[in-house]
Order: sequence, then C-alpha cells, then structure tokens
Amino acid sequence: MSVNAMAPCWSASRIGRRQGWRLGALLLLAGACSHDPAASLGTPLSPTGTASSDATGESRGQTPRRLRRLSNAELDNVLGDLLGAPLFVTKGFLPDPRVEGYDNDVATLDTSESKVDEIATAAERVADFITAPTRLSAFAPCTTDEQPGDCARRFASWLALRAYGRPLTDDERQRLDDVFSVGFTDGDYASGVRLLVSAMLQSPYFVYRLELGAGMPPKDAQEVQLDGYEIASQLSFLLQGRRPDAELQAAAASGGLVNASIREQQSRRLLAGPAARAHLRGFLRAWLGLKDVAVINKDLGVLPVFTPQVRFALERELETFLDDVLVRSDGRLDEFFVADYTFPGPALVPIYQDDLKGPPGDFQRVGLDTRHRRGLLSSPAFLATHAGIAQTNPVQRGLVIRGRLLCQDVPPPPANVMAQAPAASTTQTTRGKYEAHAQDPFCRSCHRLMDPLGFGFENFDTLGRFQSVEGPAQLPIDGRGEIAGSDIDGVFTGPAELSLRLVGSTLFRRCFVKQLWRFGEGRAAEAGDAPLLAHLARVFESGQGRIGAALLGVVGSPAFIVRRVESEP
Amino acid sequence: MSAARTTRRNCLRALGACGVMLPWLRPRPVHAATAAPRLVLLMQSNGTGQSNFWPRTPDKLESPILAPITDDPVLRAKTTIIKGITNTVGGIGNGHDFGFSGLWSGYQSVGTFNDPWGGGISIDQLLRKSLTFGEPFPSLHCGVLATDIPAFKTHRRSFSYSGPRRQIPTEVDVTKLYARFFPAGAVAGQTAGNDADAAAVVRRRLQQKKSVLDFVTGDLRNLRTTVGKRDRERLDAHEAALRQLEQQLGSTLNPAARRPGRCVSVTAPPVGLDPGAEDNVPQLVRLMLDFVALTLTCQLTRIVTFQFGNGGEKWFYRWLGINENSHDDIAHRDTGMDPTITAKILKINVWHAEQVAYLARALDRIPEGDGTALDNTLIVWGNEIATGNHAMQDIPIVMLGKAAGRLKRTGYMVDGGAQDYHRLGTSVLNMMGVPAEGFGEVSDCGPVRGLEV
Repeated sequence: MSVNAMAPCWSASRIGRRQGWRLGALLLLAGACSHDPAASLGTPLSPTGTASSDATGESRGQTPRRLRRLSNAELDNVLGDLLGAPLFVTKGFLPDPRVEGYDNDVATLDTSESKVDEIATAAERVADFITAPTRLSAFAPCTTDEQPGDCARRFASWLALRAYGRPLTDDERQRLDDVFSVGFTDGDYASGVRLLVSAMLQSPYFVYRLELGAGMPPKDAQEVQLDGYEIASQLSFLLQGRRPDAELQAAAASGGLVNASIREQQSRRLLAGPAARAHLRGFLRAWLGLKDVAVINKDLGVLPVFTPQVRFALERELETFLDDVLVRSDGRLDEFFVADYTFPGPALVPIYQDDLKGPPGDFQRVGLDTRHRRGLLSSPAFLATHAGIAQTNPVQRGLVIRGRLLCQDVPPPPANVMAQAPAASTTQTTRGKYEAHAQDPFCRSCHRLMDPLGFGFENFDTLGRFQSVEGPAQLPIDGRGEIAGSDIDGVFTGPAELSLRLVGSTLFRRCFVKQLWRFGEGRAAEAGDAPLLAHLARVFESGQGRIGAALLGVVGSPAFIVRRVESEP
Repeated sequence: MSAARTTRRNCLRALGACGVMLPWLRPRPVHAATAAPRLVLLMQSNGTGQSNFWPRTPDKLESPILAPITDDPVLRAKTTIIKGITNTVGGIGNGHDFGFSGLWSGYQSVGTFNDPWGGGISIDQLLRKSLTFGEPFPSLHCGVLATDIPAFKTHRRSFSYSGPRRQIPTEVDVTKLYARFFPAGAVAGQTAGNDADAAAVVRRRLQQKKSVLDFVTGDLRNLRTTVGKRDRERLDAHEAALRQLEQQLGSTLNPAARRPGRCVSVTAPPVGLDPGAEDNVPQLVRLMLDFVALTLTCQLTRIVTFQFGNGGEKWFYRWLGINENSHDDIAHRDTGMDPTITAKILKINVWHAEQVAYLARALDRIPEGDGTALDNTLIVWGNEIATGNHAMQDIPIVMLGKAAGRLKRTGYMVDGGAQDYHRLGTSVLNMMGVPAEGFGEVSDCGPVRGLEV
C-alpha cells in the first residue's frame, strides 16, 4: 500500500488509478456509512439503560465533581457586574478553544501559563480601576471615624460575593487582612485596597467555578450534593453566564436551592432579564457556528461588495433577530427557523436584493419573500459563514445541518483522502463539480449524507445572495436538495422549505435539547446521560418548544445538584 | 473510523530495515560536560515544493528553496537536512490536523472530524517534565497566526500539548510577551527621580506582588485538598505558572543574576501593529523572532515552539505579490506538473527559508564559549505535511545549529530512505538529553537512521 495514496474525493478518475487501496477503503467505509444513518449515526434518545435511571430522568450524578475555568466571556461578565460597567478586560486575551462551536468545554479550558499571566494582568487592571481617586470612595468607602482595616474588611466581603459567589471564610478574612496590611504599610489606603483586589481576582475561587460539594467527599461516597452557593453559581452561569445576583445568593444562603421548585422560580426570574437573553443569543450563535459573523473572511478581490459595513450589518441583524424571537416569541425554537421576517439594515440591500418586502430601516422588522427565505438557515449570516471564501461549499452546508442540527456525526473521511474543494470552473456549476462524489461508490457512501442536503442551498451564493444562474456563463442552478437518513426524508428546494420540514422533525428537536444541555454542562453527552436527555426532550415539548422550558427542565432535574465522585487509585 | 493504533510492528513493517538500527535503541549516555542545548521548533503549514527542496547532492546542499540558508557558507556548515520522514499513522481529521499535532507529539489526533485535538503530550512539554531548567520560563510558545481561522478549527492554533486535548496556546502579541519576560522594565519605567528612589519603589512593588502571590498560592493549596486527580494536576500547573511569574519578578532585583546589558535594558516594540492582520506578517515574524533570539540568549527560556500561521494556513502572501488563497488555490493544486503553481510554492517557501535564516543568524551573532549561541541550539524547521496536496512522505525537515555538540556532524543531508516520523522525535529527545528509545505512541522505534549524533 502506497503511503501517499491521495484521492481527492471529487476526482473519481484519480481514485480509479489506485484500485487496491480503494477496495480496502471501501471495506472500511462499509462499516461507517453504508447502512441506515438514522439508526446508527444519529443519537436516538432512547434510554440506553443505566442502573441509576428511571423514566422521569432521575439519572443522578453523571457529571463528575470538577472545576470549570471561567471562559473569557464569563470573566468579562463577572467583572462587568462587580464594576457596574463593562471593562472588557479580556480584549486581546488568547481566545478560548472551541469544541463543536462552544467555548466553555471543561476538558479543553485548561489553565496555561499564558492564562495565568492574563488573569494577573486583568486583576491589576481592575484593581487600578477600583482604586482610582475618583472611584475609591464609591467602591470601598471609609470615613475618618472608621479604622481603614475595618473598611477594607467590609470591601473584601462585598467583593467576595461578586467574585467568588459566596461569603469569605474566617481563614480567608485573616489572610486578606495580611494582604491589606502589606499595601497599607505607609498608611496608603488605596494601595491596600489595590492589593486586596489583585489578590482576590487571581484566587482560584474567582478563576474557577466549583462543582465539588462541601469539602472532600466521605470515603466510599458515590456522589455528592453541591452546596447552596455552588448551586446558585451553577444556575446563574447556565442561564446568564455570570455569578449569582443578590437575590439568588440569598436563596443560596437560606438553603432553599436544593428544592427544585425554588430553583425553577429563581430561573424564571432570571430568564426574564436581558442578561439571560444575551447569554442565550451566545448559545444559539455557538450552536450554529455564527460567533464570528463580523469577521467572516471572503475573497474581496472577487467579492468587493462584502464590505466591513455589510459584515457589521449582518452581525447587528442577527443579534436583533435572535433577541426579538427570545422576547416576542418567548424563545420558541420553531420561530428561529420559520420566521417570515428579519431586521436588516440598509447596507444589506445588495445581499437581500429583491427578497425583502419593504425597504430596510434601522434594523427594524421587514417581511421576507418566503419563496426564498425563512428564519436562520436562510439568513445571509448563516449562508455566508457556511461557505467558501469565493464560492459555495455544499459539503460544508450539508455537514452543519447533519452535525449541528440533527446531531448525526458523519464519520470523517479516511486519513489519506484529501478533502478538497474543486477548482473554480466556468463550464460547470458548483453542484456539477461536487456531483462527482455521487458517481463514485467510495465517496458516495458518506457524501450522500451531506452533499444532497447542501445542494438544496445552492440558490444562495457564498455571500447569501439569491441566485438562479451561476458564473459568467450564466449556468442555470438546480437548487433542489434531498435529505435522507432522518425522520423528514425527501426532496426540498431551498433553506425555507427545509426549515419548515425541520421544525416537525423529532430528530432535530431532540438534537436542539441535547445541544442546549451540552452548552450548559460544558461536555459532550455520554451514554449515561441518555435518560436525562430523553426527560428534557419531553419537558421541552410539553413547554411548547420554548428554550426556557428546556432550561427549567435542566435546572429542575435532580442531576443538576449532584456530582459523581470519581474513584481514585 | 479510526486508523489502527501504531504499534512497533506497524512502525517496522511500514518502514522496514529495523535490524539496521538496533544499535541505536540503547539509551544514549548524556554528556554532563556539554551544556544542555536550546530547542526551537518552527512549524510551517501546507508542505513544500518537493522538486525545489531536496538537494541533489547530500553534502553540497544546493536547493532553490533553501538557498537563503545554504548559499551562506557559515549557515550551510551548521545545517542538517533530513529526507525520508514519513507519517503513515494519520489520525482524526486531515494532514493539517493530525500532521500538525502529530509531528511533535507522536500521537494520533483525537476527537471528531471538525475538532481533532492533539492526542498526547508534545515534545516541548515532555522535555519540561524530563529536564531541569535554570531559565525562569522553561518554554515559550509563540508565532504569527494573523488571519483567523473558522470557528470550527481552533485546534489548529497550536501544536503544543500538555496531554490529550490539552493545548498550550500560541502567543501572537509580542508586546504582551515583553511585559511578561521583562517585568523590571515595566515596573522601573513607571518611576521617575533618582536611581535610589526608583530602586526603593521597585522593591516595594515587588514586596506587594509577592504578598498577592502568597495569598493566591495559599488558596490554590486549600482548594487542591478538595478536588479530584485531574483538577489537582490543573491546580499544580496553575501554581507552577504563578511561581514562574514570581521567580521572574524576584530575579530582576537580584544582583547575583549578572546579565549582559542587552538583556537588561530592553525596549519592547511599539504597540499598534495588529497581530490579526495578514499584511503585517513580515513585520510580525521579525519582531517575534527577535524576541525568541533575545529570550533564548538571555537565558530566559530554553524551549521555543514557533508557528508560521495556523495549521492549513490560508495566507494570500500579498507581500510576495501572490494574492491568492495559498491553501485552496496553490497548495492543494500542487501536482508538481503545473509550472505556475510550482513557481508560487517556490516563492512562498523561499520566504520561509529567509525567516529561518534570520533567526539562525541572530543566534549566530551571539558568542558563547568557543562558538556561538547557534552552536548551542537545535533549530528544527518542520512542516505538518510534505506537499500541499497532503502527501505525508518526505516531510521537509531542516535542522540548524549543533545542539551543543550533540549533533556530531552538520552540513549534509541525511537520506536513509523512508523513516517513520517518530524517529525524528526520538532523535530530538536524545539530543536534548533524554535517553528515550522511542517517541509518542511508538516507544521503541529508535532514532533517525543516518543522523550522526
């Protein structure tokens, strides 16, 4: 077997020259893609049966005791809350790693040397901000009748509630007294406070969220219950990506949060606020791969129309649309995908062309031509993100539907196949070039799951403009697609029709719940999580398919407040 | 579908001629007399132009791509080219994923097609665990990434890993690095007045910082007693990173740490160059390589990983007059048969060679003992793949420097036929003083055949 057997999957002839290798690869793929994907690739949420599960999702403690490092976004939220205004300290920080689009994956959010240095820098910046002469008396007031040490102690208690999400322990109070006194050596109160802030914001109790239960679990314990403040933080980070507010902390202090109905009551309150909406917009964008709309990269030599103004307008349109559905449609999943309106700015006229039913105002609601467009999948933000820099990429669009919206993992191509976009051509449509995949049984076995799905988007070019002909030769475009291996199999034309189909798909709706749960949990689902996910899917449906209903299901489940104790050798 | 795990048998079957290298399998004694060498791993993406890369004669090293290095007799004499390095193992993703994270870890990538992360510890981190360091920052991980990559590909930002999926990030902001590595300058710069006053202010600042670090360390240790094994490791790493910052602060006021003037009064480059703008790459590379040379020769760090862009980089190379997507429209179309593509690949690779030569010269200018800093360094310029269309055979590998005498012969090309890439890692470990018999997932493959060490 040749070690450099390269077979770009679009070129059947090249594969043909390597018969021996090709046959071997076919055998391998037969095990991966050739059977019914709905049964195997999908993750049907039938209970896979674990000892500790029952029909109401009473699966307990699948998530281990753990620390979760705050992501950059969470750091900014927490610091913004305690300062009363955003300071954006993480601007210029190394980006957090993303796993399946999410930047809060527990396993990859490591604590590198760079991160420790960045946190130190951020802590000092916040310390300087708080102790600036104009602000010190507001943050850490101290009258002439008071002992500076007492004032500092009061300030540290205030800061701990916001930075750690809990009161200080006696030991911490004592050690913070020492820190203050080093700064206060020359009677400089501001310097003492500056040191306090710097120390507390570098503390692991600020940098990590604790999911440990109180102290080390007793020997032989299988699981532990989180303590009240941990539950409060868990709940607040899930719903709004920040530390708990005063009311939630009061509930934590009273011990009430072990009670599911109190957790749900607190959650309803938080979900009604703007912080939760901002957080959920972030989730929706991570899920659909739409985090970087403002910096979508296109070949400007070929597509000069894609100006920074257009990208900015795409970003603002997306945020406005997501927020509108969260508020006016109560976050109903269907509405995100089948809405017959959007919120474009004037800069988007060259993108939408004739697809708007009225002139765009200042990101105000405008109806869409529903023959072409409905909801997120037909938004230019989605269409331009999931495309090449100069031409469309049906495989990429098909893969994102398959992977992110249906939660079906398409197996990767074999290592020695080069996944290569075909060259631009003036005599063939993009679809025509990719159809080589269908000619070859080797490529077909997997690509039939992606390409026909992506072909259904071909009437939208790489910027998300509707097109019925392609290229200088004005080749007519066939925009029909097909979905197979799902519970909505069949032919469709365009993302609008696909979306109408999707919202009726159980596979899609369960996938959404799974994605939402993953975002909250910071890890991928495992077999043992299946009963809980099935329970959440039921809660979601009985709650009219609203995001909030699914989140209340997460918060109210027993698993939310328990953690598995990992056995150690 | 995952490829078979590499076993020794696979390694040998794929490459043959195992018996020949048996003598190398024994641990090599480490020569205490020679100073430990420095290591710089430079990673380029998208392969090379094979026909313009390999010298026709093994000891003349004439090569159109390598001309910026080997046309200079001084550098040529310190150059070792290794032909035949081959990755037959693969992993999840494609060559820009498994070739990128695999070359210096010896592990297959893990995860999903969209998110294939490194599958194990990389050599820089392995060396940090295996050696003792006098330098305050044992390793530095930097480069120029410039144009960012799609949301799905953040694993291509760094090939350095402390364990499976645990990626060490690549630093791209050189100003930030100056502030971390030369904190005294930052502190002293804030003070005015006479030297004695300035020194007092600095001392007081340091004392304050130390009290903060003591408090944080106390918290880390308290927390450590309540967490599981994985999180204990995380907190240990956190504490080690803090200690490193503290040590660097402390050494700034330590009169015993006599440093050459160029290591004391250091001026950071002015802020303002956008590290995310591709057109800044030529300047960004030089600034970062200057920093690498400075920190290596000032004994601030000993192991450096440096990236020319992300894995599978799509730079347009406008500064070379190319202005095309170098991954999609150039590298991927490299069949070796299209002269216009070959010419562009030549241009891109000559530019990389110029940058490598720039770093080598910067180190060669600093005298050390009887030789230069370059003599006590091992630079390895590698690539995630061999050619732009993802071939994994004859991955281009160029070494510069003499690894503090541990590279016995330089100025030639090693051509021992196809060799498993794990052998390269083994040889580098050996030269760095770790008596390993294998690398990554292949614990006994032996070192590079034909390399005279």
